[in-house]
Amino acid sequence: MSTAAPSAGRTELVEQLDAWITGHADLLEAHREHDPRSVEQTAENERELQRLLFEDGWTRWGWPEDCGGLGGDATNRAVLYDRMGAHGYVLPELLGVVETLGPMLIEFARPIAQAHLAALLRGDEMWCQGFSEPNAGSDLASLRCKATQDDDGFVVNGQKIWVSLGHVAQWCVLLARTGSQESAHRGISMFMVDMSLPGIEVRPIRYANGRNELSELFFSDVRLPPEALIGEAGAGWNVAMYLLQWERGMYAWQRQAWLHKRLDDLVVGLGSDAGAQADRLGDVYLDLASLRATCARTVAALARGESPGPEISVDKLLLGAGEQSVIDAAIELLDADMALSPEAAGWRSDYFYARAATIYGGAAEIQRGIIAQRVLGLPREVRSGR
Amino acid sequence: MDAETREMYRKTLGGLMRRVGAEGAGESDVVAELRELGWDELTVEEPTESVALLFEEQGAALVASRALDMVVAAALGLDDRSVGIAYPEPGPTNVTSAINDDGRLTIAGLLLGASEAAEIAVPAQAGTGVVVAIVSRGALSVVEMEGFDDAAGFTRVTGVVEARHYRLLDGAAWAVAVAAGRRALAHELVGLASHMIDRAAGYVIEREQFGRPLGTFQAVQHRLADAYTGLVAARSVLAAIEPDDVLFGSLVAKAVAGRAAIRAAHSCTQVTGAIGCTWEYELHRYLRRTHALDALLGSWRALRKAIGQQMAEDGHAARLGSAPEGPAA
Repeated sequence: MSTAAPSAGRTELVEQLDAWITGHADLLEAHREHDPRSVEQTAENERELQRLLFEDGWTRWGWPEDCGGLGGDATNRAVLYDRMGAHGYVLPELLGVVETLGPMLIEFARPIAQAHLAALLRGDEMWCQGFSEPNAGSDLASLRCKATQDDDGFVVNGQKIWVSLGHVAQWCVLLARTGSQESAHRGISMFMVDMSLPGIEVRPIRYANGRNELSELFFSDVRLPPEALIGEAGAGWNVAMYLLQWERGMYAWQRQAWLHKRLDDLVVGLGSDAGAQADRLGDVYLDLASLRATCARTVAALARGESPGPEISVDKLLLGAGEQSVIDAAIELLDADMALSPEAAGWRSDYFYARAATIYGGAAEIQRGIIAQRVLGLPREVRSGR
Repeated sequence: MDAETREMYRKTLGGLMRRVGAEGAGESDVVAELRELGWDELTVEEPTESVALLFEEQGAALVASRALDMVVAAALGLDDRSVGIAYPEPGPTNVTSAINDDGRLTIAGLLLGASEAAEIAVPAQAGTGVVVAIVSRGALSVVEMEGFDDAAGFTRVTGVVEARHYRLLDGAAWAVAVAAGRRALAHELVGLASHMIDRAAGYVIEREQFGRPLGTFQAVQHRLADAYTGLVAARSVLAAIEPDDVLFGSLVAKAVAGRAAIRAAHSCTQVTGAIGCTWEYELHRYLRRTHALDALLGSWRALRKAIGQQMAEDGHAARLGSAPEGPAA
């Protein structure tokens, strides 16, 4: 049972959490790395961890009580993510999805959050995020998947791609066009889609690391009830922008905890050679400290209800840089093990994930453009072909 | 400090620094003016924010003053804040002065300005520890020097002082003074980077080639976006320094700020093209100051190595700052 409550002081919470983690070392031992072999196996293994964290209350802090939480603000969640990494354990991958989609549902579709958030936190449900399309990735506003409104709700037709966990998820948060194609970002709406509905076909995509990290989804005359709509019709872009703040802020905070743990692993892996690599290790540290300090500020701002605006693209760039900094250093410094050792399977898997870190959720080039134009005030690029 | 008060101080300090910057070196005594403005009271009330504001504005205006001496002297617990500091010379060792077995103090260091100070605090190696000795200014000889940034106002000094001609400062912790100095320098580096990025952005917005502003080119946008990202990271790390971890926090902050400022300087020079490389254009003066301040109290490369060595020794990486605090905290 949980002994902590979010109303307790920060120091108390950290102490209680640390004591809990130490006290559960035997159960946590299996969770020092994500299973490098398969997403399905990872999901299975980590469901136990999710249940344990939920039952003892730790993943319930920082979420509203009517949505299955124990109250308190988002910084309570940040403590859990940080301490798990500090003790050398993974965070269940699903908690990344929770941080991306949970705050958005609470803000724009409270009844859905009330009905589903606890199940997601506990590991009873898996969700995915259907945003990108074959011709709309970083250029998301040109998406074409269509949701036509009629008397009974909406009818969805189209295709989504690069959907993390799509083939194992029961629910999908979907961006679809409810206006004309010319309406660009103004004619988009967000939906919560039951993946068991007729007309949805899912194909896993094998990622470069060998795991089925991604899926493509096909929608043929999929009928959605009116209450599947998240926020207002036509307001999906704003909902997505709200969501992206959490993806760029809190997800980055989760990752920094993991990346610091990976740096610990690297130092341990180098053993007595670590001192000879002090410069390189120091470089990685500067990248990770930059990431950690910056997303800590963003998470604090989000918890205060502030919108960081285009500045949050900085967090996203620092996340991509941090991922590649530590993983690339490991690949280079542990080179012999990397190439041949079965024990290094996790590093090799991380290496491929790090490549994607500057692509998913809006490529690094897009983030640089946002900073240049919307923060520094540089003129928009000259567009051609449109 | 609320946002309004901060803005008021920023305006006051910025105005002072810009005026001093326009007058040129040696015309005004920045430290004396700060005292008149109530600096000592402000640092008691707002020890971190006052330093942040002052040094960012000093960096942005490219002013060389003895404000750093004032901060370091305060951290050493000196009542007389006008004491000068003999900073260790840049290099691999933490201090470059030493007390020999016979008690003689051998000094090699840098002063800020020709230093009108009557007394100088000298950090010196003594056995396995570092002590702080107070000597009279007259005991030091100035050595001719030429560096990256002659306008930074560094003076190289040497001297050998017999035991009876110096006194040791009781209870002074040089490490604490270094942390305070590094933090101030990191803010100054942030100020330099911020100014360079603003100026370069202004330049590429105005300057047209190929029938369009340079700032419309992605290659230009991305270099400045990266420079800006480094600047934000440096500010964040400075904000993450916790009161019970100032030694390590300040070390990391100065490393991140030094690296960010040098990278920003290079990117800003690139996007301003040939004009940015001329003597007439201000950029090289900022580039020089960036290197000069980076070198003081540990360059980012030296600090990076220290962080890596610490990690190797500990067997794990320290986490900078704790998890974010909520609005109720």
